[in-house]
Amino acid sequence: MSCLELRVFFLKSFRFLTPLFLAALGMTVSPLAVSGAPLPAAVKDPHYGSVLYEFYQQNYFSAAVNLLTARQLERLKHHDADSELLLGGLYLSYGLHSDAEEIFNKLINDAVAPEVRDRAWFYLGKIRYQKQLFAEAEIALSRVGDALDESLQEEFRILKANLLMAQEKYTEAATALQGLVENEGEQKANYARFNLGVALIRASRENDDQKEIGLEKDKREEIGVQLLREVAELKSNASDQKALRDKANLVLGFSFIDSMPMEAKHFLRRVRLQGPFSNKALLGLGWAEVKLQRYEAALVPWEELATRERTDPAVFEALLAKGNALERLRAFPQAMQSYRNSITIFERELDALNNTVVAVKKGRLWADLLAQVSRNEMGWFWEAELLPDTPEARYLPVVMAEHGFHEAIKNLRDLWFLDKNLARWMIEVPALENMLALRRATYDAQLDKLTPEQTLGHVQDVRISRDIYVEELAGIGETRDAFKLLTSKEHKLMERLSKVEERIWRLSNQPGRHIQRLDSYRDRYRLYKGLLDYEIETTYAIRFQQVKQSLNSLDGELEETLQRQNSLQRVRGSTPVNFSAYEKMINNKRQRIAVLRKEIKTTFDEQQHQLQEMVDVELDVLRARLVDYLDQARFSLAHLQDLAADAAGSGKELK
Amino acid sequence: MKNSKLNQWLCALLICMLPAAALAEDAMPVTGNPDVRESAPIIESVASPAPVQNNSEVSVSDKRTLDDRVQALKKEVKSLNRDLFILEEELLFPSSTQVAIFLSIDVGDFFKLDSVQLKIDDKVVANHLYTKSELGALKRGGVQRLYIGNVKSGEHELIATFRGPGPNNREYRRGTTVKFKKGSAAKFMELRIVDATKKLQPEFVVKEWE
Repeated sequence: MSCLELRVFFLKSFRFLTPLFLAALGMTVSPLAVSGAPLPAAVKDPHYGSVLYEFYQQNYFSAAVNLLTARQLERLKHHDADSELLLGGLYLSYGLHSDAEEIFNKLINDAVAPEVRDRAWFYLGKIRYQKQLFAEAEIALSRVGDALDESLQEEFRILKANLLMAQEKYTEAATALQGLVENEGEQKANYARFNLGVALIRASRENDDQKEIGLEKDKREEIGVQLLREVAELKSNASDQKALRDKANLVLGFSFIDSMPMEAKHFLRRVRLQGPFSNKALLGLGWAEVKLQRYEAALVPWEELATRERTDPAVFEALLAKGNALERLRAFPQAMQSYRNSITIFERELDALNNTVVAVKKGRLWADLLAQVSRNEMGWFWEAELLPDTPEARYLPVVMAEHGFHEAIKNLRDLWFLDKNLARWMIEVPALENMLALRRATYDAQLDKLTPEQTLGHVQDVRISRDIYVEELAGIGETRDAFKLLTSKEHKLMERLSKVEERIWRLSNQPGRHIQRLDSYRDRYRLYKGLLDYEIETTYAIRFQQVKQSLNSLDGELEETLQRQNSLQRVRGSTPVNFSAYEKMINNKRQRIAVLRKEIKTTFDEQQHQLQEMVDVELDVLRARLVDYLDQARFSLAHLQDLAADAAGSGKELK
Repeated sequence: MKNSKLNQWLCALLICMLPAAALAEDAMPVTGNPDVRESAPIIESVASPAPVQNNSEVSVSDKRTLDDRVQALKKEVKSLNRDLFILEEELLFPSSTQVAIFLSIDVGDFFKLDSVQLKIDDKVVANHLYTKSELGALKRGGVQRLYIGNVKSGEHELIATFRGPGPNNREYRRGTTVKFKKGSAAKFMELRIVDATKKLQPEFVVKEWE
């Protein structure tokens, strides 16, 4: 390869930096809260609290089911509006966008408080943004008034900016974000600062048909770069903030490679060596050195990169670029060796990639994938971060990084979760049947004891007795005979005193020494008898009143007994019907479970097939790229071998 | 001749490098912050190669239908779960015998709940060890339904024993006893752990819900 050719090669190789920079600019980030559900009010019903308990643990499915159950059983009386808003948020988190939309629409149409309405509009806008219905999202967000909760204000503005960015309205996005970046000290402000920086730079590079922001093109880029510089220098221990800092440094580094390679190096060196952006930074660092014609220095980051995980295209590029740099240094034997190594690595990676393709086609991957995610309850905001650590899955982080894959995997995971849920119910349905059978058996056994005729007979007997007692009490009232109102204890005492009296009388007729003690016996008997008589006679009024009250309350109790009897009679009539209804309901649910499981299985297979096709396409793209790298390495090696052969032919050594 | 061939080859190289760069960004592993991924559509619109986009467009229309079906299934299963939970409650825990015990934490600065044991009429009915996420949910205002079961009408005794580090990080074990009367309606009781700021001690309060 001649010097001119090499120059052309390097010149053209640099071209990829521009799209890479643009792609880096595209890495806008958002600090939007992931769950996005409304903030709850204080708990006034325990069942509402238990919904929140699940919600806070991101068990959105359980939370939604608990809420629906509690509402059906009328246990959320104090949380009518809250629970509706929460349900909308739960549906949003759970992925039921249409249902969430329906709830928020309903809240808007109902005459609710302005803060609830604003919140509903906000969430509607968010749903539509997530569904990529940008025009509709814009309408919803434009309806948010002044009553939006303070805690949502920042998210609202960022959402608006993101929406504008998604519509490629970068200048408006920049305007929307301007207020936010003044809010220093908050982590979210750094995201906003980064997004604004990116938006401004992109706007400055758009066609000059957008002048609303009122800034000169160069000025916008300058401000954008300045904002990114601020993010690139932020100090934080939070992992997301560190990643954001790396990202800003990466973007700045790539933006300066052409114009100010020294400056570019400064930024790229600030990216952490171990982090999500380190590979790109090392690649860029090498290109910055090349720009400064320091080919030897360029080899340092590329050598490091060449030792890293070989699924990243940056690593592949570094492997190839290393050979080129050596060529540039006229270290031809080393360059040839580098190309040979690259060829070996590319061939090996192609084999590995082919194995992945085979594994994916056989469906082995999905079982591994689902085994990894089995612990998570489904939720819309779940991320496919738990990819299986198997050789087949090695390339998945590369090919599945796109949004479409995430959604497809989420669907697969959700379907799997639904099936597990129904499988559990299938096991529990027999328990319901057993309980029903037990209740029926208990009912049958008790039925004979609960004959209403017997009960009515008892009630009648009690009434007759009661009438007799009333009559007797009336007689006592006339004679005021307190001794007819004795308690059972007093009766016993009276009987004992009579016996004592009788014994004293018998002893008085028998001769013996006890005659001397008889007087003392008589005195004590008279004392006790006198005390008891006094007690009875002086409490006549109380006794009479107590008996009267007891008889009166008996009337009430008899009435209650009759009412219970009637109620029992009704239950007795309807219970067999209830048993049948429950039986029917259980059967119905069992069938529904079976049908749904079948539908889930079909959809799961279809989703898996679709995902497989998507993976196949992406793997093909990756394979084509690897084949291209391989061709380039082979071509360069062949070229050097040609030069070496020419040199040998002319009796010179290739240097 | 050779130059022209090289140039053609370089063009091909560049064509395949462009998507490489773009996809490299897409493929970039991200931090724990899921929001970082939100930019994906923008990246696609700027830098994704045409053939991949075409494929995506084809699959999007297919996926929508499948998405709709997945949503419909979610909806169905959600409703079915609600019905089954109601059925389960009616059959297994009828209101005439149902008792449900809830647990909540108010502030909780003086006590970090590790576990709780629940006894009704001297019989252990529930034991629970708390995870970090459960404690987090309780501290944010969630209420845990610790137990649901059946008791006969009449007087009963509930004993709850709480364990965990208390003030000065000393192991703390406290029991609270309450007598309650079960009537014909379902009985809901809440055990609340509150901070008694004057005593700098946790307090365990039992609340009966109507």
